[in-house]
Amino acid sequence: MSAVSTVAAQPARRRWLATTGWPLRFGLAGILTVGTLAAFAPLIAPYDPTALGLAGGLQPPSAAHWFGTDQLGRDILTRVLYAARIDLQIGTIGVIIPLIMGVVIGLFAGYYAGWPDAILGRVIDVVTAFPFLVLVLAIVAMLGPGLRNFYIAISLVSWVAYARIVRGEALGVRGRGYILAARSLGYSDARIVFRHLLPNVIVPALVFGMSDFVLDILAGASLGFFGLGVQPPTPEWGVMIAEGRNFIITAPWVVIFPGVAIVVTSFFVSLIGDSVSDIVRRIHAP
Amino acid sequence: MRPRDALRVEALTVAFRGSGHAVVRGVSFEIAAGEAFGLVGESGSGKSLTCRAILRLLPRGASAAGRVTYGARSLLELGDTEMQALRGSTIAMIFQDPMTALNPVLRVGDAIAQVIRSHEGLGARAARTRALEMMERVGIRDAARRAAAYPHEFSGGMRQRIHIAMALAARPTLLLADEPTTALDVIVQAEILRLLDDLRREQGMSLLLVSHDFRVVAGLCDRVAVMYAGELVELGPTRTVLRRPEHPYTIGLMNSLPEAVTGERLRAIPGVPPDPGRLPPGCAFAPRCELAVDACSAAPIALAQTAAGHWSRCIRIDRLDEMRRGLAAANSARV
Repeated sequence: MSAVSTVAAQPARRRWLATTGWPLRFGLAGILTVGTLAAFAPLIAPYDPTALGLAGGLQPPSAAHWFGTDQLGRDILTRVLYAARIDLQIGTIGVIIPLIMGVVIGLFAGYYAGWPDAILGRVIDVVTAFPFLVLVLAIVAMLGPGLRNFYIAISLVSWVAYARIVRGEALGVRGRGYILAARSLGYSDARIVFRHLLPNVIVPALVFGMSDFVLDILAGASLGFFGLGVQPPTPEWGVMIAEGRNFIITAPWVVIFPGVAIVVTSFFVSLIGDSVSDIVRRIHAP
Repeated sequence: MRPRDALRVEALTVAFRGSGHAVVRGVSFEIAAGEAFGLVGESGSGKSLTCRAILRLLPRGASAAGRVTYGARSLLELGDTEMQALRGSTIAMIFQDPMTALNPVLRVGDAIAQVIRSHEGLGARAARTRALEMMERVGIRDAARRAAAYPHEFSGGMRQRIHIAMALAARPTLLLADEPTTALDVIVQAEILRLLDDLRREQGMSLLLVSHDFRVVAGLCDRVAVMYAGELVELGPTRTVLRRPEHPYTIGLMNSLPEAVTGERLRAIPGVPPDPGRLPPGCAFAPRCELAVDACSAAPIALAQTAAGHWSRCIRIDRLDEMRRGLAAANSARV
């Protein structure tokens, strides 16, 4: 109890910093750096991302081309930077749309329980019966390649994960005293669901969203690899790896740099996700 | 001030679907405008469900029958939207456990302001001012600063004050208080009860106070009803019921209050309350009653008036004197 009051006595800002260690700050700084590099790619990148034949194909890293060039003589550093714009977008949109869909559906299913919940349960079972990538691939193959269709496919498939998480949490929280108290105060169902239930169940979904961000980039890369994602010549890390796979022995830098970009970005996002879930766990179990 | 109304509960029955067992059976009482009415009984006697039935907030699977009116409105027949508008603004409820009745992620000032905004359509600033007033009124010092705190930063008693502030923020005319002090220690309990009493008088509110503890009800309520196994077994003016209880169960309940002064062993009522699925045919209390005779278990027993406004569901009231004597001894020791 005394620990609680000392924490409470501190200003809000310091309290927040005290509970967050270096991983969160490092992760946030890292993702901010990647974001800045992506945002200012046209200013930072030394070349045009689609300009062919610069100094010939498959040049190893050098002073002129830090990351070397690919088989068509394009500067890899430039393409990695430009690709960050697409991949961060894939991660972000690929998380936000399913997150919103899944959270709203999961909230109402969990709050009302009964038959809406039973229907949701069956839908979740059906969707999760398929491997994630197979289903995304099937939908994209049906709709045709391209980024927009990729987002549609991702949204149709990955909302169930969020819905399942939020539904479970909501089922647990709906029986709490404060939900009954909220009903006794004459609040509408929508107000109870969004103002009282949502803030109490959203955190696990957000934490999952962080790992889903990574998963979406990988899915985007995989689709790019199959030629169903981002279409060449637009640079995207997965597409770049796919294109470089024939030279993996003779010119490994073609695949290494976009690969490192994926790993580093994923690492930062995972750091944020893990720290957030740690903080939440600490708050919930005093 | 809003028009004040009387709450009339007539033959209220709450049953669970599936098992079909009635846990509240034909409960009738009336609370006049501005009156404080107590409902006493042990856990599982149906007190809380009676409250929740009035607000139509029964748990899943339970349904209410009978008639509940507040003024001209028949609550069990009201449309869902009308009922929702009534909750909080006209009839409010406070719950037993202040540890769970507050949303952990809402700052308490916002939680109170939200009640005011949703019912009175006030702007954020005006609602906040009113919320701070309300916090001061329920005895939270330095309200402007404390409003920004979260529930976990308050003690149990303070949380119950905030819970009360929320319930009363939209100025209801009837307050249902379901064991509002059970989760609190004795000293805080007394403070909260005094606060409830002051607020009730100030706002001219009616109060339905539910408790398992006669002492809680005794100080606050004009009239009291005793509930056993889903039925009212006794109803009367608090003073009379305390002085001259007319039902063996009431006497047993009073006897079982812990009393530090006498140093006597607690006199518990032998046996346990009946299972709602296997109620005895006659008086539900007969199997535990020392005065029970065959007639008690033969047929259901009706509430009968024993004195003006004092009702009892017992056919052995002429034999209660002996039981009351023990009570008188305990009472005198208490005073």
